Amino acid sequence: MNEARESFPCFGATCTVLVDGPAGAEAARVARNLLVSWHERFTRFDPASELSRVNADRRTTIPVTPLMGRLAAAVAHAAKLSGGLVDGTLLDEIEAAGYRDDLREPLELAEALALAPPRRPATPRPDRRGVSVDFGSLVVTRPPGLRIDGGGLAKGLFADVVAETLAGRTFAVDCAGDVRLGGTPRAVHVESPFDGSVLHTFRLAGGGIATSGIGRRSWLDDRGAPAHHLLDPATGRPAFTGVVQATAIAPTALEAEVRAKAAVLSGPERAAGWLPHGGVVVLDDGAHVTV
Amino acid sequence: MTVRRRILEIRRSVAVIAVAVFIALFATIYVQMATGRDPALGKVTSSQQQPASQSQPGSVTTRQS
Repeated sequence: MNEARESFPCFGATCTVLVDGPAGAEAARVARNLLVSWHERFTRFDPASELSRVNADRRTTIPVTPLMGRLAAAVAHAAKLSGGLVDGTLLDEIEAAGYRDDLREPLELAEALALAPPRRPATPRPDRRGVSVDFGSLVVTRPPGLRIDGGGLAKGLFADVVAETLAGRTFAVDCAGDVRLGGTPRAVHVESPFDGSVLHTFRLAGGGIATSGIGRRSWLDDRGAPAHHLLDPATGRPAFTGVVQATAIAPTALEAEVRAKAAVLSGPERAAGWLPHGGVVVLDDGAHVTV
Repeated sequence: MTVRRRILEIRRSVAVIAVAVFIALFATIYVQMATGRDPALGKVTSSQQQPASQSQPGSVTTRQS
């Protein structure tokens, strides 16, 4: 086996594409170019990006491109699958928590946990706001002013979309931690949020696997409180549930991303319930459970 | 004169056949290379490849980002 490999900075982290077979190098290069272009199109940090322009649109019903439609549909799918726990419309809240552009001075996970409020599971917003997509006429409908935050959902979706171009091959698309696989089984390592060590290794032939947590993107907010990007939809504040990281296996990378986020947000007692296809849950004290 | 003409015809035939063979070989190799099947590379690759039953795709790591 002679796999072509492309590894590159994208989505604020590192993406890697592995493709085996004839012209694998060219396929990996095409995949890389797609991901880099989608990063530019769907970053919320560029006011001229496609996502920012949709978010700034004052209309309730907005014409969109097919990929923007799929991203909006991913937000709707995440809300439905998680019962509102994974909410991709909390952009106002995440900006209020201090994640407006580049992250501030990163906060060590152990320090963030020491400063964090008492642990409790996150819950959905009582007044859930929906996003809907009509793919026939390619329009997105959402309440006025409601903004979409692609975040991790976009990474999972884009790993799946790239995988569609690699059907029939042996490949891996690692979109900043959200992975989609195909073909011959391969090892997938789960990294510890505390020291980067390998907590567990799965052997997967296809489908998706994703990791979500509060370890990498934590900071001190304006009030000096620890903050991160996984919000409790009910309060709009960073969620400290007792789970610092979850890895989920699912048929797609998008579903894996949703399940991983839901596992973190639901807390230690309910986390495993979000991982019916398998996964790993890491708790505040560093202990981990393989499901 | 007949012998001289015969010599010229033979020389011309040899030249035409040589050019035709060259073009045919060149075109064959060109097409092979253009489609990514370099015969020389193919030999090297096949001698370096592991048996399919032993080959493994590379591992990946899932982590927070």
